[in-house]
Formats: sequence, C-alpha cells, structure tokens
Amino acid sequence: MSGTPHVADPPDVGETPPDVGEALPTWSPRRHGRLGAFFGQAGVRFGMIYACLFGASSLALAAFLWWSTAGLLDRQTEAAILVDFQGLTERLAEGGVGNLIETIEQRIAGNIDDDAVYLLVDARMQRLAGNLERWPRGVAPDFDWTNLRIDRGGIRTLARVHHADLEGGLHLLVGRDVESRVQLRGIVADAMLWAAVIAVLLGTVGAMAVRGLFRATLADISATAIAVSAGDLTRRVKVTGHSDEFDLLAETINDMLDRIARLMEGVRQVSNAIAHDLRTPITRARMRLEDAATSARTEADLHQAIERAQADLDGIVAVFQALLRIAEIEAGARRSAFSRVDVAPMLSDMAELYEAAAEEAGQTLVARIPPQAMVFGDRDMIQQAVANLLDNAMKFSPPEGVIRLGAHVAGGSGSAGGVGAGVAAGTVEIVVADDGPGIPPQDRARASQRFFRGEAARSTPGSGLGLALVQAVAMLHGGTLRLEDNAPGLRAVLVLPVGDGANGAKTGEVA
Amino acid sequence: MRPHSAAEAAMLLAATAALVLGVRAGAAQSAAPSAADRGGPQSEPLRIITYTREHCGELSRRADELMQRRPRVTPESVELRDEGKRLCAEGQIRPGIIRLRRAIMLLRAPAP
Repeated sequence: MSGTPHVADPPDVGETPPDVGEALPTWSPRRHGRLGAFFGQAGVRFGMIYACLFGASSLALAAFLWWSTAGLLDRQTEAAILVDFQGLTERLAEGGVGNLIETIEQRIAGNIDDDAVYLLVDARMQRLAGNLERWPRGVAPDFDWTNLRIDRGGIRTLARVHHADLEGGLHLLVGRDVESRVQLRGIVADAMLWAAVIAVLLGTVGAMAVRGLFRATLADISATAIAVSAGDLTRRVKVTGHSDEFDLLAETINDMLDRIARLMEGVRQVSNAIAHDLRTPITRARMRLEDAATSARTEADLHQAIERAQADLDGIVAVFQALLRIAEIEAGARRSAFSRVDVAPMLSDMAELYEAAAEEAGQTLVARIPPQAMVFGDRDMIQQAVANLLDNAMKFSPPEGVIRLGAHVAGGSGSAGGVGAGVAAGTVEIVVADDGPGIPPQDRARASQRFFRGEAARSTPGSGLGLALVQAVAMLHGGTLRLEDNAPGLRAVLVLPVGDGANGAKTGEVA
Repeated sequence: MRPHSAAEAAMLLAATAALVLGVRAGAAQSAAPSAADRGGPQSEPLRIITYTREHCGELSRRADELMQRRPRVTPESVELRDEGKRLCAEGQIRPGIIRLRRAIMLLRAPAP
C-alpha cells in the first residue's frame, strides 16, 4: 500500500511492459494484491460470469437427468411398494388376519423376480407371515420408510421397505430389493461425474476465451486512447466489419476523435489566421506612426497619419469583435432567449434597406418574401446572418448585377422568390443569390471557416469572418448553411428549423 | 508461467477437485442405507428365510395343487415344476425356488 494515495505507484521492476494486447490498464498488485488485481479485471469478471452461468446450466441439466433416471426408479419402486402394501391392508379388511397371511404367502410364492420382502408381526412382534426372519431392531413399527440390509440366500443386498401399524396391533413391513437400482444410480452418478468434469473444463476454457475476447476487443480501444492521450491524434480504433456492438463503439470513438481532430485543426488554423491577418494592419499602423514621427513636417501630416493608424486599429478591433461574436454564438449562451419569430417582416425591412444601397452601387435587389415565415430562434442573430449574406452578395456582384433575396416555408405553401425548390419539411430557407464570381466547388466546404478568403476575394476588403458568423448562427439554430452554384454567382441558403429548436441544435453544417 | 495463468490453473484444479468430491459424496450419500444399517442396531443383515427345503416343499405342494385343479396345463409349467423340484433336491435351493415360483405363476395365469 502506498503511503501517498494521491500519487501513482511506480511500476514493478519485473512487471511485463504493456503491449497492444495488454494495453488495458491493470490494478496495481501492490495496492490490491495479485489475487485482487486478477479478480479486479473486467475480463476476468466477465469470464467468471460466463463460467457461473455455464455451471448453473450444467447443474440444472444434471439435476433434471438425475431426477428423470435414478430418481424415477426410486419413485417407481416406492410406488410399487405402496400399491402392494395397500392391497394387503385391503385383504386384511376383507378377510381378517388369516386372509392377510394367505395373501402374503401367495405373493411370496409368486415373486418370480425374487426381490420381495414381507413381514407380518403381531403386537408382541412375533412373526406371523413373511420371508424376513424378524422385525429389524431400531426400526419403529409405525408408518415410515427405511433402507435395510438383507441376506438373500447368502447374497447381501439393500432393500427399501415401508412399514406401518395395522388394526389389531399388527405390524406389516413390505419392501423390494433396490441393490440393482443402487448400482444403476452409481453408474449414472459416475457418468454425471465425468460429465461434470468435462463441464468444468469446458466452462473454464470458455471463460478464458470470453476473457481473451474481451481483452482483445478492448485492448485496441485502450491502445488508441493511450496513443491519443500521448498526442497522436491520427490513431483510430480498428473496425472489424462485423457490424456488432464493438464496431458501433469503435465507430463512435473514431467519430469523436475525428471531431476532436477537426476542432484542434480549426483552433490551429484560427490561431495562424489571427497571427497572419492581424500582423499586416498592425505593422502598417506602426509604420505609419513611425513615418509620421520621423518625417511629418506639419501638424496636419501628423494628424493624417494618426487617423490612418486609427483606421487600421479600428479594423483590428472589428475583427476581434467579429471573432468574439462568433465565439458567443457558438457557445450557445443565447439559446435560452429563443422564441418563435416571424422573419418575413424582418426580411422585407432588410430588402428595403439594401435596395437603396444596391441602387447606389448600380445593382438591383429583387426580393420575394412570403407573408409569414415563422422560425424558432433569435431575431437579431438571424438578421445579422442575412445582412452578412447580403453584404457579401453586394460586394461580389458586378455593377448592374442582380441580387435576389427570397424565403421558402416548409412544404412550399409559402414559397416565394423563385430561387429555390424542394424545401425540407419543418424548415424555412432564406436564400441570397448573386451573379458574381461565386465560390469554386473545391472551396465551398472551407468557405465558412474563419479567415478563409477565396482567390476572388483577395482583392476585396474583408476579414473572412462573414460566412463563419452565418455558419455559427445556423449551427446555433439547428439549421444549415448551403453554398451552391447560382450559374453564375453564389447561392447561399440559410436553412432554419420551424420547430421549437429543442432538437437538432448544434448540427448545422455547410453543404 | 505468469501469475494470472497460474491463478487460472489453480482455480481450474480446485473447481474440478471440489466437483469430483462433491458428486462422489452426493452419490455415496444417496446410496447409503438408513441409520439402522450404518453399524447401529442392525449390525448384521436380516436374513430372508424362504431359501429352505421346507419352502421348496411348500412351493411344490402349491404347484401340484394348481396342476390338479386345472384341466389343462402347459408343458412349460410342468417342466419348470419338475426342474425346480430337482434343483431343490440337489441342494440348489434358490434356483429351485425361482423355477417353482415361475411354474406357479404360469399355472395361476388364466387359461388361453
């Protein structure tokens, strides 16, 4: 026993190092003893459970076989004795003692199997009839069953006898030899003994096989967990292809590890993107300030340089605000404030607002909004997501381009806009389509990642966080964001569930 | 041998031994006679007293009476009676008694 229970014991020097087949954590022998460590293993417990069940089944089978063979012979013998005894008592009732004696003599004379035992004695225990020399000592004459050793013509055998009191102070004893049955019972017992030995061997072998199977199945999972905890996120649990519960467990663990790896990769990419995207404006602001400090000739030059640096720093602050906003949305803290919201009036207001801005840019905004489009969510967040999509559409559409804003209610009854069909039941699709350069198919899956910027967006201002925020809003609402080809241009579809949002949250993805 | 393998082997041997002893003891117990036969009051077996010449004579007399009463007897019953008498006369009491009893059973059987 370790003196410091919170500190792990060092491994034994002579202990076998863990390999793939022995990757399961084992109990420390020093803390629990070797026997405790042995029985502490789940594989051993499963094996013992198997052995116990196997043993109980074998025992039940053996008991039934005994009951139906040796037990049956015993019951048949006792039934024959009782019938014989009952017949003799009837003879006594019909014709008195003389009739009973004559019947006993007849039955002895007719006992061709030579296995019968009869004895009739009076109140003084004097023999009146029968083939037994005397009433056995120590055997009470009242109603009972007894086994007797008898000498049948020099051959010692065992007899099962029934004895009871009769009227007139008589005592009658009737029995049958059971030596052959005892021998048969011994044979059955021997057979069952060997069957039991075989059952123990089979049960033990089966238990060891169960334990081995259990360990072999869990060893890979344990080895994978050890490798992952050591930093190898590429390790996965082997799937045997048997489609059993262990395969299901392995697939679930692998899915979990894939998810963890994606999240880790996302964190790494975001860290790299922040470092990369913020370095340029910070360096630019520093250079402007440094240049102004060294070469500004007038106060106006100095103020101009400071204003430019402030603009650069405002851009950095905006990026951080967007990141914090996405993180806030992804955290789901505002899901508790969700309610049923009609997004149709909100979309109409936004269409009116952006229509004016589009006109200023020489573009056209076409809106097809249904009278009502109820969703369960946060109105402000949905508005911000749609605004991001409209900003993107206006930014990437050419002059005189057409931007379409539409919405479709589940079942198509309230669909409008003519920019989509096949709406999934129980959802509202908000569609923003433009005729700009669009996003190449190979980039669409990554387009909603933070700081992702496609080739067409390199020359346009932006932080690469707009679609990431839309994606976060979709996930929070249990919806999806689909980016499709509008031929030409991009068709962004924000799918939001109509239901209460309790189910399916956090399942949003970019299709 | 590793500790776990040794423990498993020991468990296997112990379980087998316990099972063998248990089944043996159970079988012996079930086949044992009552207290009266385990060296108690009945230390010596009780004799069956019918293996005597007198009983042979009694059975012969019963067989003869049954033959006289029946109008027809089978050759087999006659043969068993005669063989039983002969064996009893030769001192082979028990085989003689068994044959006489068979003859009596045949003679008691209803006529075909």
